[in-house]
Amino acid sequence: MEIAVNRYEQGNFFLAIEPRRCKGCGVCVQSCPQGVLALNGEGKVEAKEIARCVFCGICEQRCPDFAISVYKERIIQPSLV
Amino acid sequence: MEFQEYLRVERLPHVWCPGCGHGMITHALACALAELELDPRQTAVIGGIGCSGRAAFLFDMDAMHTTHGCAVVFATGLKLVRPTLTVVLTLGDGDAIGIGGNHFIHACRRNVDLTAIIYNNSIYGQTGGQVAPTTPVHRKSTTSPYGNLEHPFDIARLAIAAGATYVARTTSFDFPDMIKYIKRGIAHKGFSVIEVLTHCPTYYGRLNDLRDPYEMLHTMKEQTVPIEEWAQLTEEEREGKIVIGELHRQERPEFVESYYELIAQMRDGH
Ligand SMILES: Cc1ncc(C[n+]2csc(CCOP(=O)(O)OP(=O)(O)O)c2C)c(N)n1
Ligand code: SF4
Ligand code: SF4
Ligand code: SF4
Ligand SMILES: [Mg+2]
Repeated sequence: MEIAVNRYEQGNFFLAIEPRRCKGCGVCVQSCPQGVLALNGEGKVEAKEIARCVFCGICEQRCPDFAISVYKERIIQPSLV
Repeated sequence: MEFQEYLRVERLPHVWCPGCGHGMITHALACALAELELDPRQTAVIGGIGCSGRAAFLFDMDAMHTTHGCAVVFATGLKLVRPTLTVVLTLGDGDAIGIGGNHFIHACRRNVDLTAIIYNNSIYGQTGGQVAPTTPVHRKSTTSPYGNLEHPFDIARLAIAAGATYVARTTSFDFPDMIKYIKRGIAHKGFSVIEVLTHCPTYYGRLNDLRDPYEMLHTMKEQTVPIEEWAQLTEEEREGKIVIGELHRQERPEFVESYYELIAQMRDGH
């Protein structure tokens, strides 16, 4: 089974959110200092304002459900060759 | 290895309620194992019974879900027969110092090389929010609907008095500190206790007007004072506050090592 992961990018940095794991508790939404996250109509979290994200990692640390991962290392682009 | 590789991620979503602090502590524990670069084949997680005990299921390594209050006993046995294993316990407050209080103090006294992480949510979560020996006075639970008349145990102080040789306390809000103390507890040779104050929004929160998990986290955090600042506070200022940080560290012969030394001595003598 393919597990859906939503990816929200800002250059080479991104947030990966796995809706299947999200229980809609809102802890990440209220913890984010930048107002990036919001719950959608299905009670799942989305990075609605990804442009404002500073990749501080707080949402990942606070999520009790392992639903958000913050990737801030430079992703090595595959060679164009 | 990444922390996710220490977990059975296929078991997610886990069974805990939305916003429950148990997931935060378990996340920190997985990060601590990863940062210590422990070999999962040389590590075991032993849980008691309770919502907290279920953390053991989530680790992709040998794990035991034992009987209520007895995880420390199983872990002591395991450590004795497999002394090279790193053995970590995931215990609830009720499991550790309610029904399991006797086993717990004796493990502290013996100084067995185990690391006990106590998921202290001040209540019996799994069975429906009954009063625990950690429920603060005047707080409500399903079995103290008019407020608890009893005074709670201070788990960290109890562990120190009983002889544990590494004792730290933090909260599920303090993610880097959880990782730091769990790592130090595992690295320490002897009985290590990391008490993590956490929140059960479903029972403790609902019964004490703290339904929102985020609000609960903050209320809990505001009650704590780091040990570095604690000394400067007057008795009055300490009222209703809880000291957090690395509270105790001591070197004392460890039980399993002493046991094997004795066996070696007896063999030599024959
Ligand atoms: C011998 C025995 N007595 C009682 C129970 C019922 N029981 C299951 S979990 C639990 C308490 C759980 O509280 P705690 O250890 O604080 O864990 P939490 O669920 O809060 O994480 C009790 C009393 C049991 N399973 N076994
Ligand atoms: S990484 Fe920080 S800024 Fe970005 S969404 Fe998470 S909490 Fe908000
Ligand atoms: S903290 Fe985790 S489970 Fe809670 S709303 Fe955010 S992503 Fe979902
Ligand atoms: S009952 Fe409480 S401790 Fe148990 S999973 Fe739900 S919120 Fe967590
Ligand atoms: Mg409990």
